[in-house]
Amino acid sequence: MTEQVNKKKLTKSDLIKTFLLWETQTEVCLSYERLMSLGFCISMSPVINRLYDTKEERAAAMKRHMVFFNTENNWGAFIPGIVASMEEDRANGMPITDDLINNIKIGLMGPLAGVGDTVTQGLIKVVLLAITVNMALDGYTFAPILFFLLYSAYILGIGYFTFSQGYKVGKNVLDKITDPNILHKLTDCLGLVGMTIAGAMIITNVGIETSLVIKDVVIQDLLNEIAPNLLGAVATLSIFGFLRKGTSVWKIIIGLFVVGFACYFLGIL
Amino acid sequence: MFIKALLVALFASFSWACEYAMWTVQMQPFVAGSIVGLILGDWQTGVIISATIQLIYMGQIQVGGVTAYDFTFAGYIAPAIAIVAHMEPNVAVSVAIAVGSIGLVSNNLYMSINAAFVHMADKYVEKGETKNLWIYNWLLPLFSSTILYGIPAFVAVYWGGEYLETFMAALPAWVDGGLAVTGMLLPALGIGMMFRAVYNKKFVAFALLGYILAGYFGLSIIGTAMFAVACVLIYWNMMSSKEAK
Repeated sequence: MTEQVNKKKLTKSDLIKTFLLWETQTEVCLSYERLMSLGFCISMSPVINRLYDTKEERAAAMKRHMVFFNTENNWGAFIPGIVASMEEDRANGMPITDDLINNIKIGLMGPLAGVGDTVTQGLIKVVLLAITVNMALDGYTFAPILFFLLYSAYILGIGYFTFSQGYKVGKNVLDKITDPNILHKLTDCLGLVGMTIAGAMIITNVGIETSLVIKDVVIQDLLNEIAPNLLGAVATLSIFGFLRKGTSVWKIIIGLFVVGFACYFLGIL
Repeated sequence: MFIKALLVALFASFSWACEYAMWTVQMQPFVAGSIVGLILGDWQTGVIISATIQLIYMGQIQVGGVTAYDFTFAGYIAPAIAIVAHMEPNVAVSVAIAVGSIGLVSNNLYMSINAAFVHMADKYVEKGETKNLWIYNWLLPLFSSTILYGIPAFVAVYWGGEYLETFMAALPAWVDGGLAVTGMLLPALGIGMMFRAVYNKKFVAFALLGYILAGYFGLSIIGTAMFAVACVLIYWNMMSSKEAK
């Protein structure tokens, strides 16, 4: 092991640079043709510059990362992490081919995007927004700042965690993250919170009230006797029903405009 | 107004180029619209209007860069229009939907033009240098977003306010009234989409619990969330002891 002395190693600052480039650059030049390809390539540049010395090697490495790529940024940060460690092994003479690197990227980007989109956009974001938007509507005007800070903490925290896990433990850890059992339980728990909050938000955020009075009976009072914000609940659940059936959001929006104007003319709402 | 319009335009131009902000600001009209409010000198109105707009985009999940609305138009330009034209939040929501869909043109153009920059970068990487890669990844897209987002934002704020205000005043009352009623209905779409995002058949009872707690007991969202966390802890323990058996 005389070569040990010359072993190429990524420094801590290379990795942090890669992570920061990943967080700030991968989706700027999003294109329909190859989505995040150029962004991935640019975030690999500190790694490439450290590991490869000749122009040819660098060009080859950059071309390797110009291919189609797309994932979710925060859970997907695992991928530049693992790719950085693969490039390191490759530069040290391990038999890692272009195909292997590419297959790892393609194999991971789908599942991680699935987890990431569900957890980040579908649950964490929704819960944080639910809380802060309501604070804002209650008159606490610092609420957008609070959301920004909390969501930033989540994004940078999860991103850095998955990135460094990807670099450190390589493939093994993915089995842990995507262990169907743990993941299932985690999604379940977030789903439980999401459902509870969604139920409460019918009350706090959908305020549909009728001004209709029939024979001195104020209809809204009658409805309030039955259930709080009944019209809001009916509207929300019927829209949810349409969404579940696969009706496009477009049609629903147009439908809402039609219903809105119709109700205004008929004096119902 | 010229300076303010310029600043809003600048902010909108950078909506893609500050990618970290894209997650926390651009895709969330709540934050973007509040900042627009700050630029226009009315943080408070900005917060209220953008919180109302955010409600419709609550459960919006953007997958693979594909979106049903353009977030920069809905979150930056629509609140700006609403603030300069002194619109009610209910009307602003209807405007945001309209403006957000018009903005899809810019969105599609932006992502199509970017393909050309990626091809230029293909040639550049042959040199084996990384130094100028940022020009293709960041600077050139920033030029196109200045044209596709910055200019519409400037026009909307600089000429839009006065023009729109007289325009809105000249409209027959039924247009304003119909828009306001529709604005009242639109949050139901947001919450409906949120339900679709989190829906899990097992937890229908919890949606009902949330409704009851907020509706009959007047619990706030934070209170409801804490209740849900308590349920999660119970649920997690139950699942763990089930596995242990």
